[in-house]
Amino acid sequence: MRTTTVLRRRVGVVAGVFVLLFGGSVAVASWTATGTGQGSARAASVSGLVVTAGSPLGALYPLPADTTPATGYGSGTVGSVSTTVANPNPFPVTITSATVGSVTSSPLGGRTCAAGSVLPTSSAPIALSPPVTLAAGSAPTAVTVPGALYMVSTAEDGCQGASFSVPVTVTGASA
Amino acid sequence: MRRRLPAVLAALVLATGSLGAAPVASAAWGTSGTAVLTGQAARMPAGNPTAPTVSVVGVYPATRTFTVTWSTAWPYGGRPATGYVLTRSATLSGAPMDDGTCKGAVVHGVPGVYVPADAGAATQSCTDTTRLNLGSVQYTVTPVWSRWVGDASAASTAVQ
Repeated sequence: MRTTTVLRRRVGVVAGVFVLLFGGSVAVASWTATGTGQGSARAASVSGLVVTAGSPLGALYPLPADTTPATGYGSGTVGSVSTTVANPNPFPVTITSATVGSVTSSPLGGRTCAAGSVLPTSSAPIALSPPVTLAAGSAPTAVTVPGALYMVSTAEDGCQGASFSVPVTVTGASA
Repeated sequence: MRRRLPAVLAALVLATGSLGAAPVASAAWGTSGTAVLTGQAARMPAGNPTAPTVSVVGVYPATRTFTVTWSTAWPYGGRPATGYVLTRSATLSGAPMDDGTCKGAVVHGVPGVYVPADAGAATQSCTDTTRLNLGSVQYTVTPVWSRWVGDASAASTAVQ
């Protein structure tokens, strides 16, 4: 009788452990399969966003003295940069930020406009508010980065009418 | 049974630990793109301000004071010009302005800038005092925005 009882207990313990381990394994397998499966599939097909220059927005001028880029420009478009972004991926992408690189200025003929006359307002990514969601395989869509650039208040006279170029990287994630 | 309890607990820890790490499956996939964008700097607006008006007190050879008045220029964003450069042209002398507020000073490297006391006032005025025999005199006004210099206005009506 005692032997039978001990045996039943052992069987119960082993069964319990088995259920826990087996059940846990099923759960782990399920999560891993979902996570890894989706991750592998998307990782293999993720393509970079296709960014092209949009129409220039408000023309820059020297920032008024004793102001900041956020307060100094009266027009909302001054300092903004405009792009178009296409999403070649088979899934929607939400663009959340843009990073502005170093600016290269090209003054008009016979003039000078020193490097550093036009600067990005931030070296860190600029959050887009609200973020822009592009549908899967979307055509080029306008994306504006407000307040991306400013001209220093001491910009020389030769910067009038200058053109400039700046690399802009937009960053997003699958929606 | 008691000797097997640690093994059971270890199995539980393993099982629950694995389950706890599972939410990794919710990760999103990042992507980005870069392009070189182009932009344009503004130029000082033309035709701003219009020709000044001039009045004079005194008759040569006594000291004469010309008072030049013009409308405030508002180049950008509803903000007034930071200063003005005035020029004088005279039929009998090319001498620069010798006294008075119109001759200005060097501001941010720009010579001859008259800085108004109230840049946002509707009109601005300055004085040019001289004992020179100038003949007929005219003035122009050029707006300044920090170091940017605009186009000169049309000349004022000539005064003696």
